[in-house]
Order: sequence, then C-alpha cells, then structure tokens
Amino acid sequence: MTPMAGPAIRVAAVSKRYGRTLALDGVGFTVPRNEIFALLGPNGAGKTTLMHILCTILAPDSGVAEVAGFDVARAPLEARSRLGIVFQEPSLDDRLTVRENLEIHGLVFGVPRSLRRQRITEMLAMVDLTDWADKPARALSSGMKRRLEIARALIHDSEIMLLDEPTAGLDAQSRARMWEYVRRLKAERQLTVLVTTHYIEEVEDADRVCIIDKGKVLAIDTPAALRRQQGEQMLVCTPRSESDRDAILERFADRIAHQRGGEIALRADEAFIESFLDQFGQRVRAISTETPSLETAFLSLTGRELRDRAADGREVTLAFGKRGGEHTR
Amino acid sequence: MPDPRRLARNFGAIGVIVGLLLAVTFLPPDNALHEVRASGALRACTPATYPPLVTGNPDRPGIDIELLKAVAARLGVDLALNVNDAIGRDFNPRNWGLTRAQCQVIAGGVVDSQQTRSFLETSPPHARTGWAVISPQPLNDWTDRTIGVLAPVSGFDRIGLASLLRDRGARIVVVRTADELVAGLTARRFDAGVTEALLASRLADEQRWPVAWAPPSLQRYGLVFGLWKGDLTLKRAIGGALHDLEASGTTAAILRRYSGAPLSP
Amino acid sequence: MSRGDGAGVRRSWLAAQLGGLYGLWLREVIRAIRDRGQLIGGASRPILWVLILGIGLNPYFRGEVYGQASFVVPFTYLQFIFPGVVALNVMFTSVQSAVSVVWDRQFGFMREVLTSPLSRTTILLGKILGGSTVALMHGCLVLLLARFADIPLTILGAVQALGLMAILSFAVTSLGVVIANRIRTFEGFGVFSNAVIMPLYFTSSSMFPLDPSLSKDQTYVTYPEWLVTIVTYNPLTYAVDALRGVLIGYHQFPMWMGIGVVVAAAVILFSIALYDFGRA
Repeated sequence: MTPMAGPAIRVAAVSKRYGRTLALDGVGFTVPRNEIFALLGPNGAGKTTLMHILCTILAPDSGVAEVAGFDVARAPLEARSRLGIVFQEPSLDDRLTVRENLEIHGLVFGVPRSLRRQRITEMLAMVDLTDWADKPARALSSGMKRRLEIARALIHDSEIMLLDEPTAGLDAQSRARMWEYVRRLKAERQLTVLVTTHYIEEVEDADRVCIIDKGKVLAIDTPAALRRQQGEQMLVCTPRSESDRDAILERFADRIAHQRGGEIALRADEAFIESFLDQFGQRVRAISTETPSLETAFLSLTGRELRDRAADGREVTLAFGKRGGEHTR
Repeated sequence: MPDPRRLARNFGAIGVIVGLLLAVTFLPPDNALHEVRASGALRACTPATYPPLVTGNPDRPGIDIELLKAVAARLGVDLALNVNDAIGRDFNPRNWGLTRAQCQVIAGGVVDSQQTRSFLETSPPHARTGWAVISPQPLNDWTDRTIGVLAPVSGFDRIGLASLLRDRGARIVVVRTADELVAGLTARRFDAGVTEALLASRLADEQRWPVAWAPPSLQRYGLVFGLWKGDLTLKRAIGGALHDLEASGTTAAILRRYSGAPLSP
Repeated sequence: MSRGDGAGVRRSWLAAQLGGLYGLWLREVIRAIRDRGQLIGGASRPILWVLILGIGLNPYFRGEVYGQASFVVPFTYLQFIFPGVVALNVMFTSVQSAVSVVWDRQFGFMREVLTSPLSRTTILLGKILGGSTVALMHGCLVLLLARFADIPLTILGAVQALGLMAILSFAVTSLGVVIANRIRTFEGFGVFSNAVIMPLYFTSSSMFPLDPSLSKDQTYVTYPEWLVTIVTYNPLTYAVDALRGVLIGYHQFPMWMGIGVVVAAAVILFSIALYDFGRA
C-alpha cells in the first residue's frame, strides 16, 4: 500500500444520466482523510448513484471520481481494494454462518489466511457478534446484520468506508448503536467514512455534511456551520380561513419560506414575531416558532422535508426475499 | 478441530440421502427370483445333447447341467429341464424359438456375445470355448500337414478356421465324431486335430496328448447361462451362486470331470 | 488493530484471483449443502425416475414379450434410462445453482463481489465451477443406484463418467447463467424446469431410444420426422449417448462426438455468459 497523501475521496464535476433523468448534475466535493462525511438528501436525490460510482459499479457520464487517489474508472481494482462498502440492501449470504460470511469475504478480497483469522476475531468482537459467530446469518436481527456487514467491510485493508444508508430500516436504538461503531472506527482505525442517510438527526455526528438534492450539491459544511448559515428562525402559523391566509401571504410575500398543508412558514426574528402577532394574532388558529436546526437548514435549501417514500418495486421484491423467497422454489 | 455438531449439521442431510439411496438399491427390482422360489423349481431350457455341456446321459449330464443343479441347490429349489433341440444350433439365441413361458434359464451352448446380449441377459462366464488344437506330437509348422477338424453343432467360426489352415498350407479333413478324430490321430492319418476347446481338452486328457488354443485371431467365447432381460433378481441370485461355486472349487471340479484340465483362458 | 499488516504479504494477482475463486466456489458448495430442498430433489428424482419409471417400463422393454421379439437392444430399460437420469440430475442442479445468480443480483451478494478486486472472469468462473461441483455431486447421488439398475460400475468407467458429468455440469450451469442474465423478473425455478430442463431432457433420447437397429430411413418411418429432427439437433442427445457408452457400453454415435458436443457447448456457453457478464 502506498501511504497516501492527499484526500481520501475526490469527486469533481460528476454527472450521470438515466434516460431523461439527470441523477447527478456536476457533483463535486473532497473528503480529507479520517473524516466522517455525510451525504444528506431525500430518496432519489442521487446519493446511491454517487455511491455506486465511487464503488465502481457505475461509470460516470462525465467528471472524475477518485478513491485514495485512484480514478475509479481507470483503476477500479486499486480503488476497490481500498474500499469497505456497506450497501443499502443487505448483501449477506443468509445460508452461511456469520463467520463463513466473513471468511468468504476475506478469501474474495485476497486476505492471507492467518491475517484473515485474526481480523475475523477482532471484528466480531468489535461489533459484539462473537457469540453469534457460528449462527446462520439469517438468525440475526437487522441491526446485527448491519453490524456484521460493517465488520465484513473491514476484513480487508480498507481505508475508506462507504456506508449507504446504514441505518435504514433500523429502530432508533440500533441506529444510535450503529453510529457509535462508526465513530469508534474512525477513532481506532484512522478510517475515512462516507455515509449517506436521509435521517437528518444522524448527521449531527458527522464531521461534515453535504446536502444533496436532485443531483446537485446544495451545501457542504460542518453541521454547526450549516445550522448557522441556513437555519433561520421560523414562524409557522395556521390561518383561520382562506381570506386570512391570502391576507398573510400578500402582506409578507417576501418572508414566505414554504407552505405545507394548511401551514405557512415565515422567516422570522424577534421583532417580526411581535409585529405579526399585533397584526394577525386574531386571524390564526395556531402559531409556533422553530429555532435553527439542520432540519430547517435542509428545508430552506431544498424547499421540502425529508420523508420516507412508499416502498418501490425493488424493495417489494426484497421484502419477498426476506420473507423466505428462495431461488429453489 | 472439526466440531461433531457442526459436521452433523453440514453433512447430516447428505448422509441421510446417501443412506436412503443405498438402502433403496436393496429393494428387489422385479419378482423373477420370487417366482422361482414360489414354484420350487428353476426351469432351464437345454438342447438334447451338446457335449460336454449337455450329454443327455443321466449319470454324467454335462457341465452346464451339473452347474445348474448346484446353483438350484444353493437357491433351495429343484432343477427342471425343458429340452429344446434348437438351442446351440447356431450362436444367435433369437433363432432358438424360446419363450419366457418355457424356462427361466437357458443352458448348453449360450456364449457371451453382443448378439446374445441383445436378446438375453447373461450370467458371468463359467468357462471359455473356441477352437483348440490337439496333436500327439507338438506341431511347429503346419505346411503340408493333414488336420482333422471336428466342428461342434454350434456356430463356431468355420470359415475363419478354414482360411487360417489353408493360409498355413494345411490339408483339412472334416470328421463327424470325436471317436473318428481320435482314431485318425492315433493312426497318424492326421498330424493334428482341431475342435471345440472343452472337448479337445477332454480328448487330450484321455490320450495324454498336448492341447492348445488355436491362434488368437480366431474368436474365443465365454460360456454363460442365458436369462431373460429384466429378471434382475434371478440374475443376481444365479450370479452369486456361481461366484460361490467358483470360490469353493466346485466349478473347477465339474470342469475337470468333463474336460480334463481345461485350457486356461 | 491489524490494519495494514497485509501490506507485507500482498500476493500476486494470480494468487489473489485463485484465492477468490476458491472463496466463491466454497460459498456455492456450502450453500448447496445447507439447501435441504435441493438435496431432497437430488434424491427424489433418481428414485422416481430410476426406481418407479424404470421398473414400471422395464417389462415392456424386454427383447421378447412372451415369444414376440420387439425392439432388440443389448440392455434393459433400467440400464437404458440410468445414464439419462444421471444427466437429468446434473442438469436440474446445474440450472438451480445458476439461477441463484438472479438472487445474488437482486439481494446484493453480486454487488459485494463486483466491488471486490476479482476480475469478472474469476467471479463468473467461481460461480459456475461451484454450481458444477454441486451438480456433479448430485449426479453421483444417481450413481449410488447403479447396483439397483444393474450397471456394472468399474473404476475406469466411473472416472470416465465423472469426467463427462463434470463437463456437462459446466456446460449446463453456463447455460443457466446465460438464461438467468437475460431475465429481469424472476418467476421462480418452475419456469426453468418446465421451459428448459424438461424439454431438453425429453427430446434427448434419454427416455426412449431411437431404435439403433433401424437405418435412418427406417427411423423416419417408425417415428415422425419432426421428432427425429428435434432429437438429432438436441445437443444433450450426444451427451447422454456418450454417458451411456461409458456406463453401459452402448452408444449410437461415436464417443468423440458426444465428448466433442459437450466440450463445445461448455466453451461456447461459458463465452456467452462471460460476454453478458462483462456488459452487465
């Protein structure tokens, strides 16, 4: 391995088009070594496409993506051997035991036998699955499966972890635990971690956050800075009637942040709240204020909330597989 | 260290399936043997005479008959003979006009050949036959020699023998009986005699003459019993009995009684 | 933490590919061992086809039916159908293994492998060799019934049969992968069984012989021309024929033809599978 100077990941002007949809539109960012970098965006924002380009499954239409200094299009094998990947969909082999899953990964990635054994023991201990080593993978809960996948991504000489929605489908407790592991990894193994998520509260743990939507990078900064820059105080009110609503919209046209359902959100400060209450205090049914958060930052950048969509076709098939659909039936 | 529990989990199912399949092979595939046991007799079709395999003499019935008797005894049944003159007339059993209704075993001149097997199942061969040469004095050169030829009833390759003898410059005299052949050899009218191997070795034994296989360019055959196709259980039982007889030396003893020391194959 | 220890022992490209090949092969074999359903199929097929069908049709296949000679062939029906059932079991298992490509693709394992430092050829070869090995094991399950069907199994015969079965497994697994790569939605294994395996098997003269004692013209008189044509063009005909030659010493076509057809099929199908896989 070449001891690498330079960034762990460099993405420059990457575009990818599926038919008429532009999934990525000139995306660019740099992730320095030993950083937790979060890609935040709603489903369909282009996060997974970018992940696939980085892990060399997809080729970009234009632009350059580099992993540990290796262009993923030109030197995919070099790039791959430095990546530890956890995909959004589970990719464990249900029929194999926990240990066998790790063992085969080690073989596939060419980890020599003694080192393989040593790392499997270490990694199992790290993700607290030592007691489960000889259980079949299908016996694990979804949280444990994710942990096993993280362990698996670290059996070979990975320097950079790509985690694609590692917490999707997990309960709150498992999600918290997952992040605990990610932080420990960064501390103990000097790893660079690129993680995608659509759970906004999670990215507070990241060193830097990249907000992405509709294939475009909207902002990159630390969570605190994002909150400061983008997060404004909001006044959210529910007008009593249509006429009240029209009146508010007309009066404060320049302050409207967004509307959702019957609510109107207005950019606010203390003085504005005072004057709003004076003028419209009787004409609203409910009123509240929102203090700056990443949520509001996200909202003001993308104009929409992060929300889970209904399961798409692929996830339906996946669910069928999980229920026990097997290839022999 | 292979943990027995893990081994059992991995290979247990395979073990069960292999065991099941092996167990299944012990099921009888047909009821031919069952029929023989039920009727208490093994019925055999034989020619009236085909020495030394079948002689027609109740005291010395012939190699095939004695062997079959021993086999039947081992199966715990009697041997019932059904004489059919067509058997052994040629080497093609299809021309013998046999049916399953007449007998379960065919003896006396059934040889192990592709032709036989297209029609019959065969037991393992219990003796070898083919052309053999006897002569009072060993013969190195056949040129201008007179050879007495005694052709058995069955379809030995007479044309092959004739052309071989002619190629070597020998004169051929065809004889009708074994006595005629022995007389000719004793009187030095023939320098050598050629006949079926089992008969040849008996004559040689009686007269203390040397005997040898004819050149290997002439075909040799394994003598077998014929069985109907699909009678697998009976075939196995007879095969097993023949194997036992071979091992206990009974087969060799019977062969010695009829043909002296048989030619080694 | 042992990170970076691998730097000193980084192995050559070939060693890495071979190690990976072994890993992928091992995975297929372990999966098959754990798959009870597949094992049950592997045992029930020979039992049904050899025991039940073989015994059921055996009397009709005798050289004589109480004096009436019909088809004259140097084997019993049990012996005749046996090599066909070996081929059937090999085919079923090969295609079953190959179809798991669809599941690997759907459920992520394929991605895990595609992002490994293994070349596509190695990945495909590992998958197909694993599937072939499993299919070969299932073919051997049928060989266990040799005694029952009265097949005289010599060591040389068994070795030759295993060789043929191995190439056949490789070819059929490749075929399965070629088909699996072309389907987008998975309707279950039944489709494969009914659309690929059974038609191939039934038209390969595995179940009934085109009477060898008849000339070509006579064959066309006995059987309708279309059936004879299908059987003649079915490559499996030649594979089963060669297997029959090895197991019961009877074959209609020259042995080199059977071996040639199977080897050619293996090479061609693997190349197509590799081409597809490289594009996917």
